[in-house]
Amino acid sequence: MNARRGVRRLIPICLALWMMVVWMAANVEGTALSPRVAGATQASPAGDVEKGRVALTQVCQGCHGGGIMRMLEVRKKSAAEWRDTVYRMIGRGAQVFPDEIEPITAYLVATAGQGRPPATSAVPAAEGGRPRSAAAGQEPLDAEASAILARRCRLCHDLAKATTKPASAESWDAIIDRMVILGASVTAAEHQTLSEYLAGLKK
Amino acid sequence: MNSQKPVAHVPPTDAEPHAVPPQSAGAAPVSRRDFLAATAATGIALGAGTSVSALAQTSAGSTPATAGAAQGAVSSALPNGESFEMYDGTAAGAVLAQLRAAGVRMIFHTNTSGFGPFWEAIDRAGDVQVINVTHEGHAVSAAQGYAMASRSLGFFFGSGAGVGNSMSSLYCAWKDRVPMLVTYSGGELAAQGKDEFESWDDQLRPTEPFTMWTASLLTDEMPEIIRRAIRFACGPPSGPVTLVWGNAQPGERVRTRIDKIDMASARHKFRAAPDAIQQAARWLAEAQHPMFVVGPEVTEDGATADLLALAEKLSVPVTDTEDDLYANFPTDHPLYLGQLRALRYPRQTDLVIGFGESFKRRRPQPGTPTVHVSHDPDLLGRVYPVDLAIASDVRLAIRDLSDAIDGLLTRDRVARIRASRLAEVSAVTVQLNKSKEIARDAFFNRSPLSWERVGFELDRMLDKNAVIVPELGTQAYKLLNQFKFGGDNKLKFGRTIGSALGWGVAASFGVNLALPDRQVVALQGDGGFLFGQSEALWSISRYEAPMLLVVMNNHLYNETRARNMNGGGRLFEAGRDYNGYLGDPNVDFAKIAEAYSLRGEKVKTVSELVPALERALRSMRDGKAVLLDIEVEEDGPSLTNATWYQRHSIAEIQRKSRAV
Repeated sequence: MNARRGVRRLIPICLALWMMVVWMAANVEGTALSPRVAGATQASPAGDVEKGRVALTQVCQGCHGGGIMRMLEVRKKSAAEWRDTVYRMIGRGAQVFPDEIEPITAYLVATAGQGRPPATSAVPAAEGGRPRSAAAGQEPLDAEASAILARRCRLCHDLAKATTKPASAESWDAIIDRMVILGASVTAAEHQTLSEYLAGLKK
Repeated sequence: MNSQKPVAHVPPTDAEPHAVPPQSAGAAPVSRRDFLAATAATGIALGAGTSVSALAQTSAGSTPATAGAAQGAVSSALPNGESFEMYDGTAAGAVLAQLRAAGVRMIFHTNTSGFGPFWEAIDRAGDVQVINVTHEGHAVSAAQGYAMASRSLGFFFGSGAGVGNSMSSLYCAWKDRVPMLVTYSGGELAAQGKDEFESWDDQLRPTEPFTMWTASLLTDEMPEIIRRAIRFACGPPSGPVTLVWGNAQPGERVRTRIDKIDMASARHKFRAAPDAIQQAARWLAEAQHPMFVVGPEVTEDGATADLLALAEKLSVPVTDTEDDLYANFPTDHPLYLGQLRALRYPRQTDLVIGFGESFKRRRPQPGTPTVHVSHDPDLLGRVYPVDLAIASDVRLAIRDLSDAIDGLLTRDRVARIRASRLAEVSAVTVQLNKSKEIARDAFFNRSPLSWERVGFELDRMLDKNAVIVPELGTQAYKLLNQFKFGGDNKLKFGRTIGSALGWGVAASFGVNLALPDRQVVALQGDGGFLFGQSEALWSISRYEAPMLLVVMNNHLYNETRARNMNGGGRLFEAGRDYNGYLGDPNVDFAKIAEAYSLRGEKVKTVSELVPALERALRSMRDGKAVLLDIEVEEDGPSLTNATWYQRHSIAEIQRKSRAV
């Protein structure tokens, strides 16, 4: 009997909690909630975001190439809007599996959700390192190289790892060449800037 | 005396030597496998890209017997000497007689004077239908649509002053490799340098980039030039030929030879070197994750059924590219993967075989071993360095490859590969189709209507064998991916690979002329329709083509806005799109249809769609075309001021002038 009373007491509490979640989600997203949307408005586990990033890399770059990072910099959307975008891309033929729809949405929200700052500044600095030529007056190279890294490389690569990899300029040349063969869109000038910058980082 | 009738049969003493070497005449029928084995035993080894076996070649003018030889059924019968007739009549009549000898019974025209003798010949012949179209560009596109759907020759005659009007359509026909003769009045050499009325020097020079040949019709050689023009138009590669009438005297009497031309075998067919086929077969047998990329030549060579059979034999997944002019493979087949873009399967393709696909728009991942099969030697390895280039009629290559596989793998082995790979591919395509349904359902009941919903309802409500002629931007696939194309499903012609807007309405009309028993549907965007297409409705109305024209109206050049604004920037921030917005004036496309005595209807909400389609289908059954102006969603970057455009008003300037 006591247990049943306990359960009865819990019902209004659960109901209130559920309503609070719904209210928060509705206010955050500003959209009507369908079960699918409700699920996605809760904080996405890091694993989902990472799964979404991997799927996005495999699916979206086929058509959008490196331009997708630029799009994410300028297009900030709510979860519902990003989910619609994913649906629309599926309609166009993007090969997204059903269990990837929410992770991709989660990644897009984490990267380009409403209220997110521009992503160009998100390139991690090499820990404790400075570019070889980063003496006074060389900051423009940092900024330019960082922007190229963000634009061309970040979608597929963990930049913290890339910027701590010890390699010569020649090795970076070869690595970037390999990336270009695999589909990365890097101009000759960007190539030179990147290899000089990455080789000059103290690692 | 009817001057159009042949006056005599002349023995073929001057007949061209046919292409079958003596040893094939009188030989017993040879199976493809025997042919492969025999030719392989001779040690014939031809380099990639030049792999044309002389033994198997036939010429455009070959008889059915020699054409059959290319497909393995060698006939012992010599030509019977009835491959041509003699003609006595006007020079213009000789042109018509040669066209009729090539099976042409429908020709396209845009108003001009100066074709009196040709009209006379048409009237005497009594079995040639002239289709009047009110603009040279539309007429050429209608002829293209007709040629594509009927697999015959498109023929146009019109004014030399209309060369410019027809250029965009010529370009599209050339991009699509459609055999056509496009002829114009004028072009007289005697007018050179004089800047005469409706004249300029070298009249056909502007058409040269988009034609297989340009020439002048000459009084005494009318049929010979037409025959040669058909030869150039059919290729391969095939495409338009332009001719001028101005150097001939069409009304003069001529006595000349008219050659019979079988359009079904007019395109040269040639077969791949056996060693190249064997090499491709060995690779295909060994590959763990092969993939077929298919292009327009599959349909052009009548190879769709053979392709399906080969793909199913080893459960090889099939993909295509944006240059999907035709439905070459059933899109609802478990082996169909969609377009060659970011494919999720196979992740590590170890062999790509391209059948009749140019790889101009998409290409396999760098480093993937690639075999390229094309009936156009000029295309082989042109934009993508391939490992094995095979010049061959695509259907013959597929059949030979299939036979070669049979020679390499036991039936049990084939069955095992087929079963295991089918399970793997199907698992992927089932999941992808599920995603497609989820995405479609998400927008199912929204207004303005989603492209997916419109496509879903059209596919559901139209006949299974309806014909779709799309001309839409990048939004198109949201609509088209809802259709089941290919195999026993719907046919598709377009979008033209040329992508020049203004093609689709006239082309779909031409398709309907060729396929009068099918439902034909033109899919247009509001932007594309506004590229001067409404006049094509005149011909649709005049010739009672009971088509459905769908205008997907989002008041926007959606693709352009997306491309311009996706990367952000100052104009994106300010919401200043200089060329995207179309909603002012807000064109009522339904009323345009009504102006041409067709039915027109606007569809604004999701609840109106199905009833409107039901009414449209009833009207089509009753013989009247319908235009549905459907309000659909826009897609892409949301601008702060989506309806902005750079305003300019002459009326306002006048008002200000008057005020001063």
